[in-house]
Amino acid sequence: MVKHDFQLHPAQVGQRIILPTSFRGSPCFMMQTYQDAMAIVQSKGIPNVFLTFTCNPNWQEIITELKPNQTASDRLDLVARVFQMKVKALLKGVAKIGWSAKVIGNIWTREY
Amino acid sequence: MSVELLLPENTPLFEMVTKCLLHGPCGQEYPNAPCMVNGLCKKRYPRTFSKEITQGEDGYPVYRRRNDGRTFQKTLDGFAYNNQWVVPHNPYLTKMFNAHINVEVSAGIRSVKYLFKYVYKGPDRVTAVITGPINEIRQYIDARYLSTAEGVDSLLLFKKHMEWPLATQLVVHLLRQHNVNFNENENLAAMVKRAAHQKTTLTAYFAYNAQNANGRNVVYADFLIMFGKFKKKFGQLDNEEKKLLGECILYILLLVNVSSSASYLLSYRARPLSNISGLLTT
Repeated sequence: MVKHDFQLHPAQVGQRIILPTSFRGSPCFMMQTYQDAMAIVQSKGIPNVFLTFTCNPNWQEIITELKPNQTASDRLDLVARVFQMKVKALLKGVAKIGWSAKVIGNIWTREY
Repeated sequence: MSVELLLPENTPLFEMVTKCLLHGPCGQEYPNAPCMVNGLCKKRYPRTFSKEITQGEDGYPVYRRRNDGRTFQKTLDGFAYNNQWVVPHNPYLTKMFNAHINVEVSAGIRSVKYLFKYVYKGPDRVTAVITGPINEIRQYIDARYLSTAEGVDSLLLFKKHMEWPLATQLVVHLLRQHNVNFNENENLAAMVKRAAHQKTTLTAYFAYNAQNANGRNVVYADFLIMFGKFKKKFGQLDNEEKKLLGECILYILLLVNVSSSASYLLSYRARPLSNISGLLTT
């Protein structure tokens, strides 16, 4: 019907408003990333290890940088940077221990 | 992997484990603990003792938790913890990071899907009611909730997720039923014409196989991997070859609109593909 009625304006076709997958954290984005991850499972096999890593606000690296009377929750910029470094080290560390052998795939996300 | 209190007291690792990796106290005597739902701990602590590792009913393994009579008393709450309260952890990682690192051996396909759903559940949300000057007017907002920590991570451009190795999406559609993006000010006739010639990964796959024999024993899902192998050789190619191969990969990954003859008719007029086939077979 649409094809032959060229008087019709494209804006009249109908709209469904969604946040696209290019918007981080949108439902579409999450669904897509989830499916990508399942595709990895399909080709590489089920994961061997499930690991959660929680930030510790009492880490020496954070405590020593605090100004007097500050707590870690006052300096989230600091916490974020330290945690980022630890995450990187953790990913390297996991590869190094190599529970079985070589790491052939991994997925991770952050939760707040 | 450990779920037991094994080390002697006063060692640094033991202190870390008792500080970060003991759950609770919860249970019937502590109904106000944050993990309590309907009188039970939602993380299923205290776990039962087990002499050896077995496969649990829900896909998670049941680890070895021996009833060795060992307890540890925290000065904070005076509760005597035993092996039933230890969160599964890896001593190496705990010592390295001095943090709560819960390590689970994930076995069984059932847990995988649940786990990935959990990982990609999306940001926290909040439903807010805004009350205007007139009380009857109420507006409900379903909004994302961003914590400061998340905000800082965004500002510092830290990665929030990673999947490795790379997964690429391949579209699947019936003849002339692919997705078409359009601008609402566009002329409809021109739009329909453009859509008819639009290429997708699927049509490009058909077109390549119509022209070349070397991909015909490769299924659609593995087609990109075949090209990935050529990509590895990329460094050894001369400029002309690089250009050809680059163009070819573009055609395959295709999200590019190049006007040429129609997709399913398989009469792909495009110049590079015929030239590249020689290169790919070498």
